[in-house]
Amino acid sequence: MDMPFPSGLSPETMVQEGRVHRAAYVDPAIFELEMQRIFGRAWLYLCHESQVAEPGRFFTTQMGREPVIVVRARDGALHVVFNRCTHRGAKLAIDEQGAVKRFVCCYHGWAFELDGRLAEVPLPEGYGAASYPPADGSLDLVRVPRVRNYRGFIFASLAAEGPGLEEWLGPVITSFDDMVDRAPGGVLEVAGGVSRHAYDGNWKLVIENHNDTLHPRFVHASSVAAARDQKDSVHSDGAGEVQIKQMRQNGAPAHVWEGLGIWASHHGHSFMGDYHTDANMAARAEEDPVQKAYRTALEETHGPERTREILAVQRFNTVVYPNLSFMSRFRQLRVVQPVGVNRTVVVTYTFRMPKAPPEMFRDSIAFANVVNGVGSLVLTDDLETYARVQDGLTSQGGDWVDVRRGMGGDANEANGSLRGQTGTSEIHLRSQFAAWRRWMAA
Amino acid sequence: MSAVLERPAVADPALVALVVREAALLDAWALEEWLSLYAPVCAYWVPTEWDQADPHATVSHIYDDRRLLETRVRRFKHAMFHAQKPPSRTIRLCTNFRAGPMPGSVVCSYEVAEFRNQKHRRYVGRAHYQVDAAGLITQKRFDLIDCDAVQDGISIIL
Repeated sequence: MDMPFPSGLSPETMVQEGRVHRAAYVDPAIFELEMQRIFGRAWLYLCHESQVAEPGRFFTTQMGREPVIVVRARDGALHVVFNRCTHRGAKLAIDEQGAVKRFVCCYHGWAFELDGRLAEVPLPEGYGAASYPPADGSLDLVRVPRVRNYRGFIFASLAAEGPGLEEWLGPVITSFDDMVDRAPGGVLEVAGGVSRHAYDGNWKLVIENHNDTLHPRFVHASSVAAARDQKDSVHSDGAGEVQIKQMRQNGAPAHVWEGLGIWASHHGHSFMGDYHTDANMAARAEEDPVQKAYRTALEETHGPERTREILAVQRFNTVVYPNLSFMSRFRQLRVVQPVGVNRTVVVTYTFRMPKAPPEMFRDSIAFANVVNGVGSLVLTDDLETYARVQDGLTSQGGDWVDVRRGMGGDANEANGSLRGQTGTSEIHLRSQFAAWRRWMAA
Repeated sequence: MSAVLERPAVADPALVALVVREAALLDAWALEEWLSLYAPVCAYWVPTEWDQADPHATVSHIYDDRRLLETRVRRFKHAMFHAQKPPSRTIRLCTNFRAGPMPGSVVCSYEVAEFRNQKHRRYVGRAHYQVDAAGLITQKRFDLIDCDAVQDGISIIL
């Protein structure tokens, strides 16, 4: 290890059996190395294909801290290029999304095709004897080497080599299947705007929390209690009803959380079972006419037997390490964007099922507001907790974070994952840090 | 909004007084009394998009109907409302009042200054109030100028 770490530890020694050194969260040098070795190499989720549906449509995002453009070319192929003009470096695409014929730089008018090729340079004779644009492609936009679309979910990797996306996803690939299969006709689209929240803490804290099933009774105690005491006779236009149901469900008794199941896999990914019983679903109950119409639409796609199987899947959060967390059953997706060692942005999206009853999308918007809204009665306490953890970890009053809950009880499953001893096992954290250690070692 | 700018209509003084009272009650943390200013069917809305048309088709930072608004107020009494520990201190400025586009509506420029946990934060925007015949608020809408920006958690009532 060439890089000196203030902690005096190498990343390999920061992850030990059942514990992780606090430097992994607070050391700026470690954060820089994470950007190179994890975000610079792993498959990162970028966007859904509905956000770049037609030729010319583009979407801008970040891979770690690298600004990139996802764009659909005229031939329908998807490209991911660095959002940087190859002339003097200006950012090319400014809007978060849009449609263009070409990307034209604001500075000296260099124009790039949708596939990244440099198409035209104004007053080319001024650049010397060589013909412009050069035929060898040396001034084309820099392409992100690997791009892969799994059932509409677009991933890319900044490394030219590494495991394929499907292999890398492993058992959590079934969560993408769950999300798509639950949509009648297999059609999903990002809709309903975007919500972005930030917190003063390391990027790992949010990724660790989404499958932490022990925290709701403590972190969310205030919203659980306030929702339980709420009279249902008071007027709701539906939005409050969905949110209050979700808050109450966070107060599920310990045996529900212990019994729901948590699974982790080799590359740090994990998913948890769903703690929404049919009677208390945050969306709508079984006997609801909207649910009946939904089931009918699903049966038209899959037939009754397969529909039963699809609806029997009970899954809440799925974490794809390092930058994605999504809820296949409730069609919510969060993308983690590290800003600095103690600052993180999370960009959140909701999906619409165009062939399902429209009331379900209305419910999804209300659900998004409670799980991802910055003024949510739930999320606010998560964000406060992340900041307190970050604060605490800067202290020298203890160097180790304990991740032993459920250790020793992990069980091999047929699908290649490990199942936690109980639903509140910290198996997902041990899996994440095992992956972290491998990425960071070399 | 452009019609408002072309012919700025003078705001109903009773509505201006209501908005000032609403702001004062929030700053004083008199939340039960504050809630009594709202109608049995009402909404408190902080959109994520400037001129957002529909709270049910697009996500919001906050969209509370009456049932959720009561839950929001009740939560402040709970000892484990972590994001309000320590509690916020707020001061509101509401100014540039003009009549809204509908009868019983008023629009103003609105700022909430919040101090909590050694941090000072400002929320600036356009507030829009709709009031019913009984003088109760049926909708408060607060359009933040940075509604579509990354936001930290908002644990106070704006």
